[in-house]
Amino acid sequence: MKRTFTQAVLFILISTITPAVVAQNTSPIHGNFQLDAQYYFKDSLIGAPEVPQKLLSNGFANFEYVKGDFSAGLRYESYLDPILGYDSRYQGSGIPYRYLKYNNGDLEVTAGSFYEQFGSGIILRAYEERGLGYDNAIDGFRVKYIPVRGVTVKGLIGRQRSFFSTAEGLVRAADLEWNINESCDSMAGNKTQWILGGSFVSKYQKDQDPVFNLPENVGAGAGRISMNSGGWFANAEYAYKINDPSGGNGYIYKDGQALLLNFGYTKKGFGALFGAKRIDNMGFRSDRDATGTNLMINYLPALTKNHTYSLAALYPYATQPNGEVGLQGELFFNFKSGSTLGGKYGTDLSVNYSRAQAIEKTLIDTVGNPDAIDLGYTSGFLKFGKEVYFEDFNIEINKKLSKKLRMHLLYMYLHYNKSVVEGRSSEPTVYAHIGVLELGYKLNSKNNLRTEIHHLYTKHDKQSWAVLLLEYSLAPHWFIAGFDQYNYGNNDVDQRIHYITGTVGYTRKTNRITLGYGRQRAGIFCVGGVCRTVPASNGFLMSITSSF
Amino acid sequence: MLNKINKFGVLVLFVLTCFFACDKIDAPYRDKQNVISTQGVIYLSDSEVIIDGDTFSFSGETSIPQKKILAEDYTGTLCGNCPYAGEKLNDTIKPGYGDRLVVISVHSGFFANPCPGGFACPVSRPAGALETDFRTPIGNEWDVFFGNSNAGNPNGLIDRMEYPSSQHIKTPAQWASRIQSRSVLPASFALRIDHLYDAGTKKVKLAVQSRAVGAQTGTYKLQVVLTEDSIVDWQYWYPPVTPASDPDFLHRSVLRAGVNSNFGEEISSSGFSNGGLALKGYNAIIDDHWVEKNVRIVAFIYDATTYEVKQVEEVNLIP
Repeated sequence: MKRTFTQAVLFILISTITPAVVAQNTSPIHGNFQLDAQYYFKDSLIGAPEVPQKLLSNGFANFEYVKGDFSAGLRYESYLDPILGYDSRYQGSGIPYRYLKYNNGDLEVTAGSFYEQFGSGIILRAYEERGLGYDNAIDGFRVKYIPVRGVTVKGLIGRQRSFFSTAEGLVRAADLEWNINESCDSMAGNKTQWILGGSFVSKYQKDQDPVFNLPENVGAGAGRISMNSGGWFANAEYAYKINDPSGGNGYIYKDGQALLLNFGYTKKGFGALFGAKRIDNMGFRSDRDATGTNLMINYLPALTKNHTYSLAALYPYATQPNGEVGLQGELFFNFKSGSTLGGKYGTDLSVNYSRAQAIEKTLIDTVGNPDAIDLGYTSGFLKFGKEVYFEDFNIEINKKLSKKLRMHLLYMYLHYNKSVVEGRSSEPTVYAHIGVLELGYKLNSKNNLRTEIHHLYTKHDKQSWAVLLLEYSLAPHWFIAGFDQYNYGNNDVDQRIHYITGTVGYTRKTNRITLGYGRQRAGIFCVGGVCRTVPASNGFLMSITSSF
Repeated sequence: MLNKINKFGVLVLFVLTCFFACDKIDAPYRDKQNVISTQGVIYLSDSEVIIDGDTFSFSGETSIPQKKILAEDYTGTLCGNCPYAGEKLNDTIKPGYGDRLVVISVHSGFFANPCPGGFACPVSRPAGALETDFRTPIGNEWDVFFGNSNAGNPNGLIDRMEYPSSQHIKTPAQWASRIQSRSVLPASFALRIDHLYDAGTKKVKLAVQSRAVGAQTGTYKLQVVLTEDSIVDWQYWYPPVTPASDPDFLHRSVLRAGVNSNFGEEISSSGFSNGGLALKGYNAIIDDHWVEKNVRIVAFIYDATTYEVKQVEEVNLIP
């Protein structure tokens, strides 16, 4: 059946696109392509295993055709075999993503694969994050409809992608969003804008468990409100999920709840953001036994800063769906040029603080009621647990020092509960101080130099690290970079390892090719609180990207 | 405008439908029968288990067994065509395979709903006829899952092959050829059943050891059920057999109960290496109405993804 559908999409693409491409200069087909290939060497010192195939590769190519109200697309993916760190179930080649879509403005119908998000995603977010090997696209039908101005209704039904097949569980979902100002002419010009929304998601998976009486239909609902007024904004979303015993929560029948709050104020030269969340038993997958990042229906944001500097990102936070409270505050300042703090060229300053910790959990008393053991625990909505999972305080300064020299400074204090975040018992909690200095020097209009110097100080885990990066770019085509991540403070002298990497890249129009060689340390890689494990490796890496 | 409202109405209906797609589960959260079936089971190794004080030990074994075939006959006492199919399976096909063919008669669906309440109950029948209910919770669930009675009895499953597709339900005309094609396959598992029966308490303790023959990838489950053979009871016939209501029909290999839930218990989620073992122990109770000497223990291994039965074994309760 799937093959037939894919063949239909291919047929439409080929039969309708080919004449159009020939006849016109502006092609109605566009897309992109990427191939990452890695050649491995065994490196016992860093724990890099011997790879029998020597060379592994991940690749994909997207094609989309648009004509009038109609569009069609597909993505060919190839994992021959998957690069280390990606789930080995990504094995082989195929077309796991393909769709036909009709959109006439008020009505949009998609048949096939699609991504979707309701509100902030806390009960439904189907998306792709290629760096994580994450793709929970839904395969089925989706309808979006605007019955009256300002109101959007969505309905969908389908199964989530699970590598090169689909999940056993079925997802049914609907969402309604009402932009009040758009609907009411009298409010259209108001400074204050209001949006209300509500959504419901239900999954079905048959119960064949030999022990538990499992719910086959599990529903989750959410309501949200959003307000913008001048420089102010605020939004809130609350979600509730009924009993959903799963491998992730230890097969307890407790309900789940999540609350997200964000508000802030921005004006020229200043911004303030604050966010808070409470999550309790909100893991939601279309297969109750799925693990890792497979088959998540919802998305629970981390509410922590996503750092890009390598040592600042050494210990990233992963959202704890079984329970956490978190908050984040951030202030931005842009000091104008000519001011005391701005100097000649102006200065950007940001201060950020985030924290995540346990919720209070009280185990249910099972005396006289042994069944209650399967309810797990109770938790007061506003009661916090004592265990801190993660804390990050950081200050960043971005300043242009002269016409040719730009500087970026970062200081960060980190508290990282490795046992909880990485789900491994008896791991140390890491307290670390991190500093980063980045300097960019413009030699002339084509030649640029950039360097990064990082230092991470800690007495825990693998102790202290230092990083030096040097990069030279020759615009608009070439760059070359060298990078050394040195675990100089490791208590085990034999593990004071230099993780050295060299990369050269060439860019032309929308095509880019990079070639590198080096060592990759073992660790975890996270995007938005969703993480995957990265194993140690040693070898060549080649990456080609292109769009058309 | 009317068109828009109609479309909107459809979507609202969809939203409401989603809203009611919730199953709130109240205590008990666990399958009590299955909890009882595993009470007092202590595993010592892959070859030794204590069940309620008795130790079951399996000696090392490396012989390669023959592939045995499971034939499930979905039937009902009010299904007039079913006895023809049952007799063909039990009296014509099975003798050619002996104990290599294990038959389970699953009474379920419309034609298994007995008189007087069943819709298929004939208007004229002898007093008390066709009132025995052979349906079981496990049989009903299998029937709903595989869709047999909805496809029209009689029909069956041969090693549950080709599920899920419209082809997994086999008509009686297909049974012989499908059983033949399965019988030439090599065995991928060996199964051994050991048990102790206490006629006083009606309790049977049973241990089932699975051994992989060659490396096996995938997720596998073990299903254990109890059947009762040679039950003499009413059966309805369509012509040419007369009378239509037969009081002395020999019901063969009737599914009586599941021992380890309706879809068995996982024995491996990552496959087996060659010779890999899995041992499971259970308790079960023999119903007072069953004839002990006709009760059989049936165990089979199936692929949890495809439901294909890989091996099946059957032993008598009373050796």
